[in-house]
Parts: sequence; C-alpha cells; structure tokens
Amino acid sequence: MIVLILFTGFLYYSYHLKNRGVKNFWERTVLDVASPAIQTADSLIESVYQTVSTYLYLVEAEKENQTLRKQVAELSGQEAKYQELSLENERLRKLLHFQKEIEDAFVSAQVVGEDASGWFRTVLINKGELDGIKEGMPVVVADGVVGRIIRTGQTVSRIMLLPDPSSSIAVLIQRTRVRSICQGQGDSLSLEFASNDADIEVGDRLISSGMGGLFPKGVTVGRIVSAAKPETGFFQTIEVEPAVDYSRLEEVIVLLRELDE
Amino acid sequence: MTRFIGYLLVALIVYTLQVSLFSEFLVARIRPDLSILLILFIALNEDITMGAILAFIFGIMKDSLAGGNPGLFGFSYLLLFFIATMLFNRLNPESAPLLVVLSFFGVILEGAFVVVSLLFAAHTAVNWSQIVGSVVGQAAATALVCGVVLWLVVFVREHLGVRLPFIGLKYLEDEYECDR
Repeated sequence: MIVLILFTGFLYYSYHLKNRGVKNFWERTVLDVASPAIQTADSLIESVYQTVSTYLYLVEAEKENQTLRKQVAELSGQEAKYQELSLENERLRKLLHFQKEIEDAFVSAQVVGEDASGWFRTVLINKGELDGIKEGMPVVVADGVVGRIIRTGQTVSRIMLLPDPSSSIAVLIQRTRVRSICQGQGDSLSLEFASNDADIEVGDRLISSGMGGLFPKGVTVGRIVSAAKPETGFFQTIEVEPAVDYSRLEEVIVLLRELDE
Repeated sequence: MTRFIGYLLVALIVYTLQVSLFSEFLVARIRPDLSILLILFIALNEDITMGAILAFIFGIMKDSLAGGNPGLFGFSYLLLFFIATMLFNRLNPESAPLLVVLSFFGVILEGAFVVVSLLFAAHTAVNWSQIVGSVVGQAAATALVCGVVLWLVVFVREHLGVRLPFIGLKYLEDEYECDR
C-alpha cells in the first residue's frame, strides 16, 4: 500500500517533469483558492504594520512632554506619510514613464507574496488569466528585468525571478555588443560562455538582447562586478549584479507578449 | 469529511502565513516551515490512508505556492509522512523534546528530498547553496515554533483548565482512557 502510494506520488512528479507545459488543474485550483486569502492577508499585514508602527512610535514619545509629544508625533507622522507618499510617487512616476516607453501591451501588478518554501526565487502577483496573463510572459520594472510568469490562476500568478537557478536570459554587453547568456545563481547572476578573449570589463552594463524572443531588446539586466580568466578552460568566470533589487519588489509590469510555439 | 476539510483550511492558513506574513518580516534563512508541523500532526493522529492523502495534498498546495515542478513537494511530503509514521510507531510520541527534534530533522529531510528529487530533473539547475544555506536556519526556526506551540498547549491546560487535544499529548490521554 505504502509503496503504491509513494509510486503514485513519484509518477505524478515524473509526469510533470516531462510535461512542463501541461496545464495542472490542481495547482491552478490551489492558486485560485489561496489567492483571496493571500491578498487579504497582504492588505491586513500592511494595515497592522502601519498601526503597530504608529503605536510604537507613540509609546516612545510618551516620555516627552504631553504637548510636545503630540506635536512631534503629528509632525513625524506627517513627515513619514509624506516621505512614503513621495517615495510611492517617485516609484509610480518612474513606472509610468517606463510604461510610456514600452511598445507592447502590458499589465501592472502588485507583488502580494513570496515563495512558500524560501528555496526558490519566486513571487506572487495579484493579476492572473482574467487580466490576460499567460505562462511564459516576461515581467519587468523600470530598473530592469524581473523574470517570467511560470504559473497562472484566475486572479493571481507566480513569477520566477531572474536570479533563480532555473532562469536565464540572452544578453548583450552594451559597450562591446558581445552576446552571451546570463544565468541565475540564487542571489546574483553569472555570465555564461564568455570566451577568454572576449572584451569584458568590470562595470560593463548588460541589456537583454531580444534573441530569445521573450524579452524586448534593451532592457537592463545588470552590471558586471567581477571577471576572472581561468588558467585552463575556454570561458571566463563572470559575476553579475542584478539591476533590480528583488527583495524590494512592489509593483511590476507584465508584458503581454508570448513566444511563438 | 469535516476533519478533512478542517485540515485543508488549516493548511490554507499555514501557507497564507508563509507566503505573506513570514516573507514580509523574516528572511528566507530563518523562516519556519509550519507545514512540517502539519505533517507530524497527521502522522500522529491519522491512519495511513487518510494521512498519506493529506500529506500529498499539503505537498501539492506547497508546490502551487513555491517554485519547482508540480509534485516535487507532494512526493517529498509523502516520504516524510511515512518516515514520521514509522518513527512514531517505534518512539515515544508524547515526549515534547522528541517532537521538537523531529520537527528540526523534518525540515532537514525535506530539504534533502527536494534536492534529490530535483536531481531527477536534469534540465533544472539546482541551487545547492540556496537550499543548503537556508535549510538549517529554517529547521531551527521550525523547531522553535514547535517548542513554543507545545509549551503554550501545556500552559493553557495547566493554568486555564482547557483540554486541548493536541499532538503527542493525545496518546498519553488515550492511554489513561484505556486504563480506566
């Protein structure tokens, strides 16, 4: 019995390994069912966080003179609010400006959750198939490439971020126009198959080459932070710092373009 | 059926916490994995068939909310469930320290299963450092949560007189029931 159940589980896993493109009913159902809970939890956490922050601040200020405390709290609260608004404004302005530059149709979305295991670099966004999002679509922000959609529900989708080891993108070194492949390494990126005689320098900017057909040409991917030529072997070992801070993703843009099958 | 739906609701709450709350405030390296506690709970309280089905469903739910291929966590959780059931049949399950230790090694084993399972997918790159670097911290955080939950249950029982049926403690009570 145990062997049969285990074998069934293994078969299920193996089947999906071989048929990656096949729509998975169970996974979509879980995403659709979990989506309202996750989005509600995200809003709740944000509200509670704001309330708790304000409360903690007031407790600290309690030690001060009553009038002064109120004044300081109000001013600081306002300042924090203005600062937050200013940052949001700046972020949205950047996004809006970037949106104007984009030629493809797109959908803006908010990040509502991270990977449940913490072992993969994925995030959840609050837009799904109802908004026209499909698996494989590229995701970007004003700073650069974010990743691609790997699973979709009706109102929620999962993005595999570029630093995930399963992610890679065709890139172009902007200064020299040398083509290469950028591969995720967990927290950073690496430039693969750059031959020893290729003209590559620390600080070089990498942009998407558009060769894969998925990402448009010219979107920033990152910057080379180290390059070493091995004594043996044909390729350089090159580390790339991503252009996007993936731990601070809030709003993203999903480009509604698909790869031709 | 009610219990089955109850488990699913608890799992939904657990995963919602992991995806939103924990990821908001905790870095991946010290994020507790509450689903392991669920697996231990069902290994203690459910029969093989019901437990295996639940373990597989919990795994598939995690697959939907994490990276990796569908079935990766489903298969790993099935294995974990059978190992936990086997251990509970041989060890003393009403020992709180044992449960804490098992929750710690549960996460380590989960990481090991995930890495081994990923090896089957030759075309998928495995980030060893990402998993290995996170798994010990996550195991410690999970064991800490397990210890706090067990302590809370005992505290509530002793000081508030509320009899919460709970992991491990249930066995002890069943034994008393039989003696009477």
